[in-house]
Amino acid sequence: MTESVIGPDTRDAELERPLVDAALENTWATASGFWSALATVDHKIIGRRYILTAFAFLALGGVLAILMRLQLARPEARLIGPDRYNQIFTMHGANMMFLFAVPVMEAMAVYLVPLMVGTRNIAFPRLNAFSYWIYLAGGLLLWVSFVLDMGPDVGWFAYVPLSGPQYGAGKRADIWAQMITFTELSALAVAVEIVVTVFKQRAPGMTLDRIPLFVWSMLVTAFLVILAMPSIMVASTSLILDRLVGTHFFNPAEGGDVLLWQHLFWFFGHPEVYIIFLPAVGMVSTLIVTFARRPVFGYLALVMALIATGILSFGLWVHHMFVTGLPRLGESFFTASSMAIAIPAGVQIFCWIATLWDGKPVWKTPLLFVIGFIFTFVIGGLSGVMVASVPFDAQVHDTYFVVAHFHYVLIGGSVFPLIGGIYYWFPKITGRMMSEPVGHWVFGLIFIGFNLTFFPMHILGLQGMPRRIYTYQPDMPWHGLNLFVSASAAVLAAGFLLFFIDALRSARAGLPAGANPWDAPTLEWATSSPPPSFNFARIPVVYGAYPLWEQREALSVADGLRVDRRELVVTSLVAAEPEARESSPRNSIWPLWAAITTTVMLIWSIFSPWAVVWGSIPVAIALIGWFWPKRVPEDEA
Amino acid sequence: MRAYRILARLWAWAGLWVAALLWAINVMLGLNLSYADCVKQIHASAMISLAALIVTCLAGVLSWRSARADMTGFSSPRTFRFIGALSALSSLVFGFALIMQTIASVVLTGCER
Repeated sequence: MTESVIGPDTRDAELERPLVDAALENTWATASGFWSALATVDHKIIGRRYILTAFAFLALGGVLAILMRLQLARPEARLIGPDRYNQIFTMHGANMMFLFAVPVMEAMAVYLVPLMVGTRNIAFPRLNAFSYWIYLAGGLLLWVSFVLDMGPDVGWFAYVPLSGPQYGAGKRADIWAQMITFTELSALAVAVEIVVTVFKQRAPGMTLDRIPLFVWSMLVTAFLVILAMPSIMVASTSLILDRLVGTHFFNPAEGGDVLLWQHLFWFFGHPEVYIIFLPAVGMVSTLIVTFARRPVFGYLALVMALIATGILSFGLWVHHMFVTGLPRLGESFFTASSMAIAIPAGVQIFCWIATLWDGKPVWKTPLLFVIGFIFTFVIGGLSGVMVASVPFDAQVHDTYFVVAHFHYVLIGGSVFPLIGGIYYWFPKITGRMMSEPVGHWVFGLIFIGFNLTFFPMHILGLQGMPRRIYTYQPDMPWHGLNLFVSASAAVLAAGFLLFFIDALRSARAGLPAGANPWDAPTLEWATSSPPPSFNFARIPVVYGAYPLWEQREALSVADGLRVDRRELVVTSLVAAEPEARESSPRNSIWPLWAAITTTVMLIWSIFSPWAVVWGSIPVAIALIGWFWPKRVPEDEA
Repeated sequence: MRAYRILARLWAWAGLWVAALLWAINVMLGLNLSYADCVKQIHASAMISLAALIVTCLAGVLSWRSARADMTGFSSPRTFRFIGALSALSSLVFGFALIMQTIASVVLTGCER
């Protein structure tokens, strides 16, 4: 039936809605079967995989945290030896930062950004598939090596000379450095996709001042990734060269510089915090609007805050290096920037509170997590201002005070909004609601468990307990609080366990959600839950920042796209005026092959520099297959 | 497109990009000029920070005024006003950082370790 009316160059305007749906499904759907699953370039399928994989790494990282808390619960514990403990805290940090926090935020963007801007797929969808496979390979590399007792033991920052050839025997530091290459490659790929999607694939009418705040936040985050990640890739590659080839980038005896490592690492490492935090800001801004039942207060100020925070984040890195002996005047410039970044953060907090104040808040689980976020992030921000001060930082550097601070910022600032975001977008992703009563329990356990676990660490730090110690003597004044912290960590773990159980149960047996269960205003809710393979039968046209609230009767749509091939609307950068119809790539197995060959080359290069030469041949073959000309026009103006 | 319209569009963004660029340059100079400040006992960091602060303020004002002027011929004047206001607001944040850096470079000599 469908085929009989669909000829070459058939446009959606020529067909009735059921026929459009059927034709688009035929064009865009991923066929069932193993190979089709591997070859898919659907951003929703890849986004789901990303999210699930990232949460699996969160669970593994959480297990490591529990092991550390068991070890530290009492003095002179013998549960874990010092060598394994070094691996565990390194794995915990590296896993949480590189395999969970950054990828999960990008994963949410991979799923949501195309829907929120009203397009049918992410830009460069094959690159998107490649990025997932590379990310998975990097994660497996790290965890398999840990299981084989080859896990890195040099801290998530891998400072030289500890990680250099003089002190880092074996391949543990190389595993860390190469895992960086995998995850950064993946992150950079997704960042490029997001920038192009937001700049060129927004729905007609979605001018710069109508872009959803989550999309703004991901745009700024993507630029941060593009600007920050090369620094760590250069650093990790230089480290591998020092260790494998015998270069001396970080060897002062041969003209190298140990401090260069810290500069390169933290030039990436501090923006990394904002790469994790800014998407959460976007999530909070989105959730508050929906549950306060009113437009956000201070849209302009919030966008300014996102951009200013993103840029300022590049001028803070030296505040991780206050005890390295740099001139105080130079350090004071970074203190100034560290203080200044509190301004946009404060602006955001005030805008959110004002939105809630003037709205009619509906106290569903996602909003509870937003409130939890505001509470914990303000505490983390205040302790951040404290450690931005050179004299104070010199006192608490490398103590548990810093551990408490960055967990308040990272868990409070990112994981709370993320869990809230999962409760919020779960119906869109699965078509089913998560349990509201269980959600309240999850929030209560996580919020109480988190604060009871991490707040006492401030006190432990002020009492002088250093970071990264595998045990301590009974006569130190820390054992009471450590036992309390470990017991509280069990409450926190119970909260996450309940969250996972709720998510798994709800995905199978949750209440059906409908297209827009929260009566939310942004475009991802304009399509069914879960969305069809083509996202939107006809591309939405936007006349405001909250299209589903402003066009309650019927959403305006554009037509004229072909249904017999994958097509998108390309729009202008500022005004989002339609410019062209562009084809979107079909499914392909080549991104997987490219990822496999790249993985072989990168892992091999830990052991031999010749791997880069010989390993690049299969990579080149895979890329030739990927980009082989299709002899069809790519876009039509 | 007439030249003044192109200029107006550029000015609208100035508060963001000029301020951010000057702040970034000033941060790098602050990290490195402290050695010269110490040896020659000059407040080069302070003078540069102050100059950057003044230009940042001017860029912010320019953004605000050019967006208000509505002489860009842009298809969406509302969006253009948004860009101007966004840039002007951003310049305030970078200006605050530059004020703090100027004060720091006046108070410290560059010799403190």
